[in-house]
Amino acid sequence: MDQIGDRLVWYYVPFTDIEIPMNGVNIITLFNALLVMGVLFLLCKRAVSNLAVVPGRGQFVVEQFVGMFDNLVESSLELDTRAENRKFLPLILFLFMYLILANVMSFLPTSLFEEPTADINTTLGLGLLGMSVAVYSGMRTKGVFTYIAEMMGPLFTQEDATGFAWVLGKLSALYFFPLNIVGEMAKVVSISFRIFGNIIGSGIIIIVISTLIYSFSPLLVGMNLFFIFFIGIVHAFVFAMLTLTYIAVAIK
Amino acid sequence: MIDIEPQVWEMLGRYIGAGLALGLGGLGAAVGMGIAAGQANEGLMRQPDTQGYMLRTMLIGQAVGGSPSIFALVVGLLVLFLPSGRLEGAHFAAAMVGAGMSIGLGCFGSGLGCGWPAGKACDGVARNPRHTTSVTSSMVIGQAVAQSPSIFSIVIALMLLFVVTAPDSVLLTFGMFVGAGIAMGAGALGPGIGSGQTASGAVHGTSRWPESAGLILRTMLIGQAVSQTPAIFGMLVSFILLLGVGDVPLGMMGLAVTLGAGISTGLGGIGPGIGSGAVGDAACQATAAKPRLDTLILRTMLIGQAVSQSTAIYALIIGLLLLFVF
Repeated sequence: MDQIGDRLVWYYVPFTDIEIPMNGVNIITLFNALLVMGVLFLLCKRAVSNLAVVPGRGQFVVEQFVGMFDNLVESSLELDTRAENRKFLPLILFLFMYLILANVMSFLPTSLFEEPTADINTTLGLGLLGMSVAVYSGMRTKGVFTYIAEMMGPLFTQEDATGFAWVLGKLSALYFFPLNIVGEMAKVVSISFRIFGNIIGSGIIIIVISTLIYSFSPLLVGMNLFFIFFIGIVHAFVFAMLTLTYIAVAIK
Repeated sequence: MIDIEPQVWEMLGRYIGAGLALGLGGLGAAVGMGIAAGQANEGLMRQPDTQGYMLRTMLIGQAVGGSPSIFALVVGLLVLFLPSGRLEGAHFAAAMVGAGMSIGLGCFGSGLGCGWPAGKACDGVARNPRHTTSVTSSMVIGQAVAQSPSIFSIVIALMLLFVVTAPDSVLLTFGMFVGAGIAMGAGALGPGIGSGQTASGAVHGTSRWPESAGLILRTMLIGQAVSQTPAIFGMLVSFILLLGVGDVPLGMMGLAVTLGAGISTGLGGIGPGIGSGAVGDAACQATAAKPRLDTLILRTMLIGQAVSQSTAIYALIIGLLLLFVF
């Protein structure tokens, strides 16, 4: 149990003394993240390899899955055309599939396979990705100035204010603007720490309880199934849905 | 510092820590299980024929809702019997008290929160016995997500037991470890209760309008996830306290700064957690009743939760100011 929190970090490029910028790279996380992407790529390739007009079993499952997410994206964003809604579908689907595979990969019984999501850098990166897409598409649909004016608070943009009320309305931006900026940053922090804390916490609970009870394996299998698969899939879905909702709030 | 022998410090820390862990951690789960059993009785009065389903639903709900208290039991045992190699004397005592505080308060919230969906599920089985399966699965998913605050607090408690290194100053150590425990524990208290309340709204809605179960599930997951934001702030401040306090002054000033940051973030998270859980509860029931309006309800819920959480953000700002500016 003493290894909780240990990480294998490369500070230099191997066999040289060239320093890696940003305090080194966590090589296991990087390897596992790339592995998940590779597996995901192969799976998707396989899923679309021989499409038929009358779908077989595999194609039917994939079509249902994609269709479900298509409906979710469309009902959340409610943009004018179907094509505009579909622009966001690949991002949401990618987040969901990537996070599911990343969360359940530690079920393979080798110490080499560690969830990339148990490293805060991965989830922070994905959170920043989602938030930048949200801010960019918000600015794109509303226009840069309208978006920033909305960040200034509700009193800044009111139309029928005159004289003193107008000045007060403009001054209220001094209060609302920093608050909204902190609120946006808190969104990134909360979305990325949520999945990180759950995944690393489930892993720690499994380690601790396995150490305490030694060899009562049925309980351990059940616990693994619950914590790895159930928590992993639920939080992958929550992450994808929250990203979608943040985008929807930004563009409306 | 007070002149006490190291062994006495260790005993003091172990006993207080284990008492906090189990005393607080068992409290919430016990109340929650009682709520479930009470609703089951009330439901049986209405529909005596459903007793097979009712017993099963009640037992599943109590078993899943009891797992926070099992987390508290695990940490409590570790606090009592962990060999004290890494830290010594008063430092060890501070780590044990912090761990007990974190897991005790954190499991209190989640245990209490998990009781309400179990109770509503028993009520729902009596109301709508044909849809027992969808009511039960909605309950289990809701309870599992409502337990994430207690999973966060187990992370902090085990970091206190296995990972942290203590600075030389006893007062600063005390502030860091107990502050981290309060930030995480109290920060997880409100979100645990609140996300349980959201889950209970979703279970109630599912039992009355089973045909909109999918939409209710989505609203519930998002509502719970957002109402757990204060717990995440608590975890953030605990991480900073345990791993990355830069040049905090030593001695009494260090104690004041670190403990103050922990108390501010932790207690500041209780209200927003409960409040935004109530928003989620109402939103789930509204989605159940009017599934056509689901996006409108979802958006309003998110804005309401974001506004009700601005106080948690104020508390976080005060905590970070204390740590990095003073």
